[in-house]
Amino acid sequence: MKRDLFKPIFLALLVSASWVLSSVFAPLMAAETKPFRITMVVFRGCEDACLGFKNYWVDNKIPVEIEVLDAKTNAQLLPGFVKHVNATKPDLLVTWGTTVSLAMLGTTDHVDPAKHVTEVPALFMIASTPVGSKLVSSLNAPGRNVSGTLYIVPVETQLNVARLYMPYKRIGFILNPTEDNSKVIQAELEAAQSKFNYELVSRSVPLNASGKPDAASLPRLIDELVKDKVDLLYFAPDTFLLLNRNVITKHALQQKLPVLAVSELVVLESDALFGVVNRYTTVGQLTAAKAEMILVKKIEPKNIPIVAPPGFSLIVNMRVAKELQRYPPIRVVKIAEIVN
Amino acid sequence: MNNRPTPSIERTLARRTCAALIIVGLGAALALTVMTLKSFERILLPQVALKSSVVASSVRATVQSAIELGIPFKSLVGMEDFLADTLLDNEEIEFIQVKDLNGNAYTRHRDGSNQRRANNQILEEIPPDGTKPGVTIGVRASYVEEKLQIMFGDAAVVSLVAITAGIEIALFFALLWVFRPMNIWVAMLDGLKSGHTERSLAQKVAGPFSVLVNLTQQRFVALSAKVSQSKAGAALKDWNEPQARDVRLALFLFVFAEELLRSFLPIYVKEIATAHKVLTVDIDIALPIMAYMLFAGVASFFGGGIIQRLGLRNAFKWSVVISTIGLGGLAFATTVFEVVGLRSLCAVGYAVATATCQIYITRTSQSDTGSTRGLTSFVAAITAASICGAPIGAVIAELVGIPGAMMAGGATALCSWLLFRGLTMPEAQQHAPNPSGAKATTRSFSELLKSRRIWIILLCNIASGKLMLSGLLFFVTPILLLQYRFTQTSIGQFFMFYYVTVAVGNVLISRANPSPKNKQTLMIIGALLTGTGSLLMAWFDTPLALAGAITLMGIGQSLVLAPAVSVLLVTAQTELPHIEPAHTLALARTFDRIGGIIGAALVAVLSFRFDYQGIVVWLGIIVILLALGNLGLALPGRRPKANV
Amino acid sequence: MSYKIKIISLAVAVVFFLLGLLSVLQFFRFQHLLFEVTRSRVEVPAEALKRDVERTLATGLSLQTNAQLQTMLNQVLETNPILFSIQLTEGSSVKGKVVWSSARQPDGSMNAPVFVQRWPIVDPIGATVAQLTVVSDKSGALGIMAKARHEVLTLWAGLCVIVLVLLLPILFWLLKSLDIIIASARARLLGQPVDDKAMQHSDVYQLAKRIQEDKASVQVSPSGTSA
Repeated sequence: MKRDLFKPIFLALLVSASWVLSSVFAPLMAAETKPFRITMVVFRGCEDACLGFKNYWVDNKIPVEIEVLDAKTNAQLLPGFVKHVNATKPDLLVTWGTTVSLAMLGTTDHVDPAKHVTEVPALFMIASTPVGSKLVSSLNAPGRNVSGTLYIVPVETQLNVARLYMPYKRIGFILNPTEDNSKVIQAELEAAQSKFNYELVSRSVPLNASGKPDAASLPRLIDELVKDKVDLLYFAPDTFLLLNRNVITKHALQQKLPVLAVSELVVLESDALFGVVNRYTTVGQLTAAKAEMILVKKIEPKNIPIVAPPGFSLIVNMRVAKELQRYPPIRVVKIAEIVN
Repeated sequence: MNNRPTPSIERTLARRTCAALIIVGLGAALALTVMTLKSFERILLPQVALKSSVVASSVRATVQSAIELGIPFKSLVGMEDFLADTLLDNEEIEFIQVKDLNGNAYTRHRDGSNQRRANNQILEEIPPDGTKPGVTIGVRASYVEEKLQIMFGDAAVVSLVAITAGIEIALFFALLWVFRPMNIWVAMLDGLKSGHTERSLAQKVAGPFSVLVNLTQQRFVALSAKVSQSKAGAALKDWNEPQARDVRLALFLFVFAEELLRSFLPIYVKEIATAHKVLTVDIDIALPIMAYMLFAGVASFFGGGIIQRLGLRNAFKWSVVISTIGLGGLAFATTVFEVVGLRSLCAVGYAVATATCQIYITRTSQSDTGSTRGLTSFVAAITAASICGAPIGAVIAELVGIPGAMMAGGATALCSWLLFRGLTMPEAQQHAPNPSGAKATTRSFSELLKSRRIWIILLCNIASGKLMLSGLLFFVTPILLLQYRFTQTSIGQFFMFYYVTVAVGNVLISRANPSPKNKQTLMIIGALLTGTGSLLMAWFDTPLALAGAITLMGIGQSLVLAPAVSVLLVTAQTELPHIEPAHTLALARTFDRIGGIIGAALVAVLSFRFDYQGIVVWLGIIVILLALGNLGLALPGRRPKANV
Repeated sequence: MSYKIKIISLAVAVVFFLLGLLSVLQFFRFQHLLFEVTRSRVEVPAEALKRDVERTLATGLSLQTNAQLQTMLNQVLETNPILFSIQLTEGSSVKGKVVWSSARQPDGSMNAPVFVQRWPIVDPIGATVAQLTVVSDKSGALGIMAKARHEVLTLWAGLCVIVLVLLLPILFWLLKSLDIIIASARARLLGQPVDDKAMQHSDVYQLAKRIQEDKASVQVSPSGTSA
């Protein structure tokens, strides 16, 4: 009797086990071959950071579908992007820049599910001061379903590297009173004065009738700084300044005032003498690495600290150096990227 | 008037022979060192110059790239700093100059001066060529000599090792050619005097005194013919009576075989553990050390019974077999489990073999003085093997690789059997009680462990010392020295800091023969010193600090080892006079092993939190805290238990 | 005589062992330094190359598609004749796919002895993306080692001869007194006349003398014990 029962019981067990295993593993298998869906919202086209982000998946052979929504510098398109993301529910949302990030994700003290994306994990990149702009509550513990990457090299590193290039006793700074980024950076530079033994000389951009910073005043501010005998002009990662980078750097060059940039465009495309920057491509790659942690390793954004790339690039604009007769020291030539 | 007795001709001869050997030997060693230094310097200098020319090319390329960017040579910025960086990265370079065809030059000297000391520099020059700058580099001529001067340290170490090994070998042949024939001859002369002639000469005697022995033997042959009728068929006792020193070379070789592995075993285990991790790498390194201590302790505990059952000869034979398999097998181990198993075998073999030799020595002595001398010989053989083993093992490992060195260890263990098997075994003391029975020992242990003072001595001095030895010297030192980029040979030499210090300290202590109260003080000071040296590593993460830690540990242990055992025996005798001293010693050995196990385990546990430098410091702190436990000895002890 | 030869041979062998061990150690010391110097010759251009490769990665150029890397490798190989080959392999493992390489055939066979040194190439976000493997000529170093070995062996042999020349007469002269001791003790045992005064400080002779003096008082009983 017992032997008769054995075969059917064994078969039944085998079938049940197969069913259990297939029902557990099949979705996983399916999930592993299905590409991840990522929506990226950018402000002015798919530039280097966006490309760096995209190339990371190709280089690491991870299947993804990336949808790029381009605001084309028009912030009014952003609410529509919010609706689109809430409707399509991608696996991950990536935002470019502080303006886009705040519009899509809200702040730590003001999030509205009707106006912001709340149900999709999100990463931001190329945001200058995420804590200052209240994107996140702290860099170590973002506090919500949002993480990201820093792209600004720490101020102390910038100042150390700047000293490699040239000695300075007075640093000039143009403050944009309407942008938090600018104020935060000014505060950091003021705090570093005693440690680095220099004096920060600031000039605030006056506001026009509509309460926006007056671009026409920029050359005058530079003249004032030159009169104050500053050794170096610090070009803050401020949207207004970035939009007027050509005017600023050109005028500074005419006044023989070297410009230290902290974003690459100011060196590569304008007349800053040198920049201590994280290349946007690198920032995009780092953001993609964090996206991989979220999508593949299933780590929640709130558990991913916000960091900058571990290294930095020192870029020297040789044309400006020649014009200023401020050649980079040999130590800098060894490690810097020389352009123009 | 000079009352000093005139030394005998024989003693004078022995001293002069030793002196001649030492003077000629060390003189030759010094000459070899100096001459090889000069020779190597001559060979290496062109290689150093070649490297400098590569540096010159690199400097030139960097300056050239700046010029190609459009920076005029005269406008190059920060050249002094750049050249200073180059000097910093290349310690053999004394000065460096970059110049162009127009005579503009940037120069930097190592000492910051403007003067070039031409006489002691070798110049490497790349002349300027068109827009390409020229570079001149001055290499310090004494650079290679400075690097090779460490050879003098090597010579001192090697001389000590060779002298130690040479003494053991010389003692063996002295035994064969001088002491044994003399002992036989003296026994024969005593026999002639007393009329006790009913003995035989089983083995042929060699050496210069054999003529005297043979001559006296002829006399016995004539005499014994007269008593042959009454003594026909009776078994005759041999003239050659076993002596404690007979076993010395066999013991030396056996322990030497084990010590060969000391300097590279943790490194070997680390490689295996990195490839096939069981837990963490550091725990995996600790496992064989702990297993060794554990099995050595267990085998020591039961060893007496085993030896009684098998007899001395078989016990040694089987321990050699086990150790040979263990040592040789390590060469083929591929997993941590295999290493643990093989080290356990080695531990059992070691414990039984050393116990066999100890029992051999005890049986040969007819008095307390003889017993003391014999045990001194025992300790001396082990110390000599420890001094020689690590450095020679390191050299063999460097020559033939670590597996080859392990197999050499196995072969050496086998050789010890060849020396042991020919010895005359001493008879067991028939009426001596067997103190080694496991039950009796366990009972004694439990009684001893009820005493606070005994606990303090065992834990705060004996166990703590072995904890430090096993953790610092056996585990951390080889790995830390590897991190400092020491070669295997240098790692082996490092072990001598401990063994030589302990050996010298032991000799001095035994000569000083301190009183019981002073012994206790020495023990406490030694326990504190054992851990103190490690604190150096809190400030200095350098090989020198490690050497200091090991040396101070050696000094500390030399103050602890013998005095602690002595204080323990006195305390046990005072509080528990009915307990056999052998049991007290067995308990000391057990705590010694426990300390060894804890030492290795501690390192593994601490490795979760600290790097090796931190681990060394913490080991020292723990040992110092344990040493402070000796304050408990100031409190009054137990009254002797009445024996009901 | 034979025992004298044995004793002297042993003594000389111990000294030879000391010198041999020392020579081996010195040779290893030399080898270590030589390899260190030779490797550092390779480190200078290799580290400069590593820096340049990492700098190109920082500009966003992919390792796989940046053809400038081939030129860089070729240039380093050209300016450093000691190098046989330079390779950039993908990933953090040494067995990754070769992305760029430059090689020169070593003179002689394909099996020339070489140094192989590796450096990780780290991208700006801190990940190891490639391995730079440099293979350089070891035959020069081995040739120098052979030369050094020959010099050490010659020195060792020469010193052994000197030791032998010094020790032989000294030990023969010292062991002469041993001959006298044994001959005197033997003569004493045989009852032959010996100059007691000359041998008064010899323990062995005194033993033989004592037993000769006690000899007459010993009688052997039928049981084999003294009466």
